Amino acid sequence: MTPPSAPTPKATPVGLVLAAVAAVFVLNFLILGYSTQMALKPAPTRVAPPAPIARATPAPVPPPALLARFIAVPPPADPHDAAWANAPELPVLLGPQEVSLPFGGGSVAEVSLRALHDGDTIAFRLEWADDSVNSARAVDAYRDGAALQFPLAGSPTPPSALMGERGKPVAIWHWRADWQDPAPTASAAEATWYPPNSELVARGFAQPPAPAVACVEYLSEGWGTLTRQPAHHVAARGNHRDGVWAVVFQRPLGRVMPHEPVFVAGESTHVNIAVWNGSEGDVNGLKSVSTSWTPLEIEKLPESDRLTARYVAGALPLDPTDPFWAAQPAQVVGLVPQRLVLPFGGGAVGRLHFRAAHDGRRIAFHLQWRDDTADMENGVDTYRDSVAMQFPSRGATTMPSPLMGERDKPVAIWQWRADWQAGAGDRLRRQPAPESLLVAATSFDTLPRGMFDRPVPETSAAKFVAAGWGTLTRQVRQDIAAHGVHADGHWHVVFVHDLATDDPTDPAFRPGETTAVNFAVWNGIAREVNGLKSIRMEWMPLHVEPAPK
Amino acid sequence: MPKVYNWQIGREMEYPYEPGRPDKQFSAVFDTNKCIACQTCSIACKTTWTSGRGQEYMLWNNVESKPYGSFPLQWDLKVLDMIGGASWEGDRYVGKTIFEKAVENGQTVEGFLPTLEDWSYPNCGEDEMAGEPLVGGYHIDEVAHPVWFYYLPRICNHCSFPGCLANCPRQSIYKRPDNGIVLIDQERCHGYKQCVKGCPYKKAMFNSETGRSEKCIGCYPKAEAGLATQCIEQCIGKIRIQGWISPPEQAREDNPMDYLVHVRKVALPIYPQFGTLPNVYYIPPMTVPEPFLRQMFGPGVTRALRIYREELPNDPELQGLLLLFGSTNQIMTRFDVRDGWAHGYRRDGKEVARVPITEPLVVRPAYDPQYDVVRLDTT
Ligand code: SF4
Ligand code: SF4
Repeated sequence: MTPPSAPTPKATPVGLVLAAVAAVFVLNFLILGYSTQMALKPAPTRVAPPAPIARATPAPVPPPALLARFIAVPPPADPHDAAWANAPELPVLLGPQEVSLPFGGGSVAEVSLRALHDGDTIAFRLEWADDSVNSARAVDAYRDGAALQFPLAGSPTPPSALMGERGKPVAIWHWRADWQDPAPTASAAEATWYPPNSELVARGFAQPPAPAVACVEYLSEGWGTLTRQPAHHVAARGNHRDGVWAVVFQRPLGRVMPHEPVFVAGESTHVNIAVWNGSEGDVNGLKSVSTSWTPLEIEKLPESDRLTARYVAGALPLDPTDPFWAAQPAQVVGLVPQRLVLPFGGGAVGRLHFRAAHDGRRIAFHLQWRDDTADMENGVDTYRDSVAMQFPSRGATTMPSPLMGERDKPVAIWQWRADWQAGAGDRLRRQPAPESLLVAATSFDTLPRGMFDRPVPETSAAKFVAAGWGTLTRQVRQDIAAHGVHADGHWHVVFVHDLATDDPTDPAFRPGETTAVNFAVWNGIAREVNGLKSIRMEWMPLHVEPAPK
Repeated sequence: MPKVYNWQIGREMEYPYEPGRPDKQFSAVFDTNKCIACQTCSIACKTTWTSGRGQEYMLWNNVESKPYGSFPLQWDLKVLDMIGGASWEGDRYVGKTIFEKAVENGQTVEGFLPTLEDWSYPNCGEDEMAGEPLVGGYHIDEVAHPVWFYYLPRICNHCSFPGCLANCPRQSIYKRPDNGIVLIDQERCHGYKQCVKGCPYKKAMFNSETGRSEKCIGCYPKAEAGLATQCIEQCIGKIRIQGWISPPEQAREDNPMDYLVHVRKVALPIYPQFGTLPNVYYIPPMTVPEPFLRQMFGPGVTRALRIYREELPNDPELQGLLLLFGSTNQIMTRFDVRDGWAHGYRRDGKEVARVPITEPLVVRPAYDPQYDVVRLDTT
């Protein structure tokens, strides 16, 4: 199939109008004496596209994988930060897009790909040769750009590497040079003639969707289905130096929206790449692209293999911001999405920082994890942030299943919930509640107190016992204190409980001995609730330090 | 997954639990031809059950105009879209139920969670007409009107294979063994909203005040006393009748429910293709084009419409039963039609309703000799 030949340009009335507009601009520059740098800049010279790359015949071995290496510090946003030297480089060959009209691209033959993560944030760095920067938003020019594409979790086999397929969506992160640093196309005077259309901006038609967003997240289920995500959590920054573009994409390791790719430390997924070269007129299907997925391995977190509750003499503060907690060493716990029992889900939180201490009488746990939003509302269509710890019950003679216990081997579960902490007083409800509508008793009056989800008024945590999936039952005694604080994009939650009780469903914390613990974290904005949670598949040993006699 | 037989779709289907039949099954028939959208039913329910905080948006009974109305917005179109349309071969459904579609996607039930906004416009689309544009001098002289809308009153269907129940990961939802009413155990419920997602009819609702889900309770205290629900008893249009429905192979001709659903097949399930075997049945509106009705009530509409349009005028038995609608607040278990009168009986055999098929004609002469006045027809 040959692409249709381009029509010969003709002088059209539209062309005349454009010429007239251009003349007004030139006149404006002359009259107002603006810097002529832009006006005088020569039009970019068109370089001939390089000769097509001779592509290697496909080898039977799987394609080499990109390793997202773990580093102890946050991965850098700056593409030229020295930390990138830690990430192994993977060259990926690109070719012209020849599958769906309009065909084109191919001027970028190769990109170099690197990735890093620190358990909270994952970053990808893309580098390719391009001797010109094209970042103008102009009626007659195109801009440089690059995109990464990932399958969503839940697809057993990855969908088509070329923009997904029906029922098997892919996520696409699109960085554009013009979104990042738009080359000025409008003078200040012009802006007063044509004020920004705030109505269109408000409806999300503006490009980019928000100021300072250089990267837009899309979902695609095949050619022509590219759809903008309702919110954007990927930050991208490009840097052009010595004829080379280097772009870094960063996102929280855990997803924030349900239809975002899940990255799990210790697991693998796939990535694909597309690059647009503005000086070649690349846009849309005219791009340099790889026709197959590149496997992506995310390095396992260096986890603690045993958690410790240290002995301290003195108070165990319930306030997570108390300096006491900062002074305790943090241990790392890796989490994975819950994939065993319907409904599957989770994956928004990949790592917890764990601290614990006891004073011989009480035991306290401090859990911290990344979550950019505090989701306090459990409304008709909203979900709340939450965290739970699970221990074998004292009554379990042998070790129960780490996944909510099993028959005759119960587990004790402590759950803190942001909506409980928000409380009834400052309940965050968008639902209108005009008093005049309430013609009879309120639910509070008609339902016994025990029926409310908060076991005790003014509490933000509850104690449960479970002996297998679906058996979660509230404990009679609700003697748990917990408090959460959301600060700096992290939740910090402290639980405090008696070390020993006379209730056999409670955990057995015996100084000098080792028990076990598991965790579950829910991120409300990612619509996580119930089985949709990040957990551990195995128990983590928990050593309770001996108390001095 | 266990296989269950769903007679409404003419075949077996997968359902997460083994079938269990209650002693009696709650059931109702709504005659859409008579509903006037007065919303008395909605208010009867609202003032009885959902007048508390956290329940402001709830309408366990709602009445929406079809085709453009829906509460919550687009509930039915969204579910139809999610299961991939719906196709029938004769009386056999060959598309996917919400349970079968879910298997493909690694879920238990295919469904969606409406937003608060979706719940906020219960009267959206009210009285909006579908069909040809109206022009001056327009006359409608065909049945299946070229311009049309109709009212669809809806409650929980107390389904035999409930989607809400199937999707609850905590088994907080149960079907009462004595009357088939589907209830949410408020003590077990953890507020996961999975039932809201799993009910294709969107009749399970979340109470953000209690952190629990709630749903229509079939007015079970009244059902226990042999009385019809609030919405059925209060219906101004007398469009509703409540009873106990038998499985098709045990249908009894003198049971009002069985007669309408299984014997004459004039009352049809709503969206049987969802696969939940809903137990509220509808006599389809005779003025509406058939393709739309087939989508909503299944392939039985052709027969139901023919009976309603053509056979009913000469069928005293069916006429009598339709007249017993709304004639008593008691649940009728048996009816008969004799000598121009329809009689309804409750469980213990006592007659609880009697209506004439033809109202006696009373002619009042213009002159009243007793008071020596001429009657004016303005009084
Ligand atoms: S209509 Fe919905 S809420 Fe009622 S039983 Fe059926 S699935 Fe459950
Ligand atoms: S009370 Fe009866 S007539 Fe009125 S809207 Fe409800 S179902 Fe229709």
